[in-house]
Amino acid sequence: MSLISVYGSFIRNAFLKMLAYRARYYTGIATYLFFVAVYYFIWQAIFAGKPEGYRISGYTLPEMLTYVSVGWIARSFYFSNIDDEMDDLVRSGQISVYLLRPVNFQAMMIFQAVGEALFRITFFSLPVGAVILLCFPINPPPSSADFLLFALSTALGFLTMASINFLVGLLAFYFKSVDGIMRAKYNLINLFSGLLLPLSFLPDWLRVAMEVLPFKSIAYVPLNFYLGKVPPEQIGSVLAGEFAWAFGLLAAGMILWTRAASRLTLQGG
Amino acid sequence: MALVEVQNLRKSFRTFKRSEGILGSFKDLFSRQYSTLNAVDGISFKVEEGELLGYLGPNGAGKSTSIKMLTGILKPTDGEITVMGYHPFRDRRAYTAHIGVVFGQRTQLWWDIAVLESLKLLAKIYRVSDSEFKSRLELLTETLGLKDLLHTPVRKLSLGQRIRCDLAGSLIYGPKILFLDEPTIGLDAVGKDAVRAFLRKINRDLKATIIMTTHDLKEIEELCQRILIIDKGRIIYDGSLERVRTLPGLKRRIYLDFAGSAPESKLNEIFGTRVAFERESERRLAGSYDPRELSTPELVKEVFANFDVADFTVSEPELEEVIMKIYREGAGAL
Amino acid sequence: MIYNLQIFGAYFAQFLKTRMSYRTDFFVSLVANILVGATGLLFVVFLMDGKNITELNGWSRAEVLFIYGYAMISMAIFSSVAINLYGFGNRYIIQGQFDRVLLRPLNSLAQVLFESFNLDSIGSLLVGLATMLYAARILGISIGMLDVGWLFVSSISGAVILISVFVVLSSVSFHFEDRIGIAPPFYNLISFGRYPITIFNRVIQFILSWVIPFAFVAFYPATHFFNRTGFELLCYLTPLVALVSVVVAWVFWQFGVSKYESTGN
Repeated sequence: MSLISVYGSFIRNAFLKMLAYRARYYTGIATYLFFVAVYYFIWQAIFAGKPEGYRISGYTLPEMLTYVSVGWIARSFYFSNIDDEMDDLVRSGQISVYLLRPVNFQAMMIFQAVGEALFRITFFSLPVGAVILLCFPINPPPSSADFLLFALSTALGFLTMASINFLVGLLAFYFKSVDGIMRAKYNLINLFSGLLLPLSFLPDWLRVAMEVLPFKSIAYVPLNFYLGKVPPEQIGSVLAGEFAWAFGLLAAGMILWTRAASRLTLQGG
Repeated sequence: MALVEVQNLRKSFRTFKRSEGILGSFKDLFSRQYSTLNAVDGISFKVEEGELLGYLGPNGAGKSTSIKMLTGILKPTDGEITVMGYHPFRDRRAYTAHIGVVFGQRTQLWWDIAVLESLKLLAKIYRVSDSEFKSRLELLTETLGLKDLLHTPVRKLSLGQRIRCDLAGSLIYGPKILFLDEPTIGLDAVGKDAVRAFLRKINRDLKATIIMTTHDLKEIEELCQRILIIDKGRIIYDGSLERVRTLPGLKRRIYLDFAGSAPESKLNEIFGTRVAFERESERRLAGSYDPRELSTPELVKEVFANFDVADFTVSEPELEEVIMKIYREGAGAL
Repeated sequence: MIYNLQIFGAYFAQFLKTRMSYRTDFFVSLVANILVGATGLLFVVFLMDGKNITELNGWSRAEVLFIYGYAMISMAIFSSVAINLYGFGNRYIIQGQFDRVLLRPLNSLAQVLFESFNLDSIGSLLVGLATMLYAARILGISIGMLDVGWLFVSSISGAVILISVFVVLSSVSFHFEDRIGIAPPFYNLISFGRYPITIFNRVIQFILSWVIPFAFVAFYPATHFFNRTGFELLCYLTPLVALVSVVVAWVFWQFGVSKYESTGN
């Protein structure tokens, strides 16, 4: 079996797994609607009484509402459970089975996440997007080039997110329970990726730090591409930055995986 | 009144058929095909105090489902169960205070804490007085050989050790009846022996009523006076272990030793299809026959009339063979 | 009752023993929990920086923070036991641990809730309390003995409402076998309960008050401390709403237990 079909089968299995959970599928769609609703109303309230076209930290109300809706729709695509699944594998001891297989574990996990993401984009993001579009106003991007940049940037965001999740998943080798850490990661990323609010809202010292760190690739950068807010002369360097972080984190995961896995064999499974 | 009374007990589950492939799974998101499975399909029986009842049946026959209804875990779809005057599911909290349960596959002790701590916690839950706890613990430690295990966390025990501790856990509060679901599954010979000896002891000496499911026929032979065989949710046999061996249609075996070389072809000529002979050695033949077609005295008489026989033995059918036949052919075998 | 408290105490003692044997783990989780609480709070702090944006549809920054802190307290109490509901479908139904629960002569729901605890949530409880006190000082609220009593009663009620909602959602796991269950997505829904309810539209306000009563978790009871009119009745209805929630949750739970299939291994 060729390498492509091996990893292809991971993608396929992820599809089947996602389809098996019917209740979660429906509630999942509803959840995204709730999320968008909460932030939609918060932003409405923030802009209440302000004149039309008023900007806060560089965003008008229609821009902000689009930012929130598109942000959550994109999240339904890039979100992944790699850390949670690695935790399960370590807890149940099944991880040792994977160590025996002639496949790269990290690649397998990431391809599984790709499978889930492809599943989500077809069966989840589209219906979520349709429902949100019906309930809340979303403006189209200024040009199709902006949309393409958004799509490319989101794909890099997905890779960044998956790599971070893989790194967090490695902690399962070191701690008895990583539930708390995973919850903290979840909240930190929602905030510092710019999903909850654009990073331009942060106080200066924190904003500077977040400009350097990789989290902005996940939401803030793609959404600014969508809104056409990235100046043309910066597009190249912004994408290069996303690229560098995504693959840097991937490489870090690869190196640290070998160390974590050797811990397992030392303990005797 | 009998200790346990079961009347027309039924349990059905709704299952759905998963379609194949990605397209099929996608279809399943929107519409599913359901069907009803009658796991237990109208069973009735009684158990008297002090009995040790073996509950047998092939995998998926409904054994576990019945035990789970008897212990109050599952709500019956239909029918009545009364144990010591309680309805297990309806009166669950009052009822479970009086029963002990051990599931071989899964522990009921607390995973992370030492065995003794688990037992103490159980004593608190079941309101066992200190003096009672002490004397029972002593007895159980002795008979189950727990002395060295009491301070070990459950997760560090071997399977055999865990089962012994689980047995202690289910008896520490002095239940009147014990339900065991495959208590010796996965144990080695030594482990099995220890559990069996213990069960025999508490059944004989303490007059404990025990209902157990098992796949181990040696266990049944050693322990149970009465067995109940269930298949496809129905009881197909309820009676003594002795009687099951006399089931019509079971083949017996006769072993014939001849003074000289065994005359196999001549025997085949005489008995034809009524007896199937196999050569065991130069002078020894084994033949199996259906006593309904050919009675044992008739067979022996005819053999003696025609041959010079040095010795012969007739063997009862092995329990395993009996059970296998019943599993294979279902109620029709009886 | 005394018996129940004793059992509860025994469960708690056992839990502490196991938890304390992994001490580093505990401190890591505690820090993580404080981070979780802090990031939620930071969103509000960054959103309303106090210079450009000082109010949320008529609610001052301090009021919003006060309600937010209030919600964190109820939610911390809730999450100290809700940890078992979070993985209920997987741990109890799929892995079949619910068998063991049903074999004990104790209330099945109480066993599930009190089998383990999430002590880390003390972190967000402290963050919430600090936020509330900070906001109270800005608002010039003086807190008397009666107010402390109300804070205690209402935050317990708030926690009870949250627990009840998630018991209802978890009991769905009895009917549909699913490793994840439908409850986890709803944990995020709690966000609605952290803001002044009037910023939402009428439909959502109605749902948050009478269907999934998250508005009673913090918003309504917090209005006790504000110099505002219009919420007096709803504010003091909080304990009653908690009581009704418990009854509803119990009915759903009992129905679920009767459908339990015990197929897990």
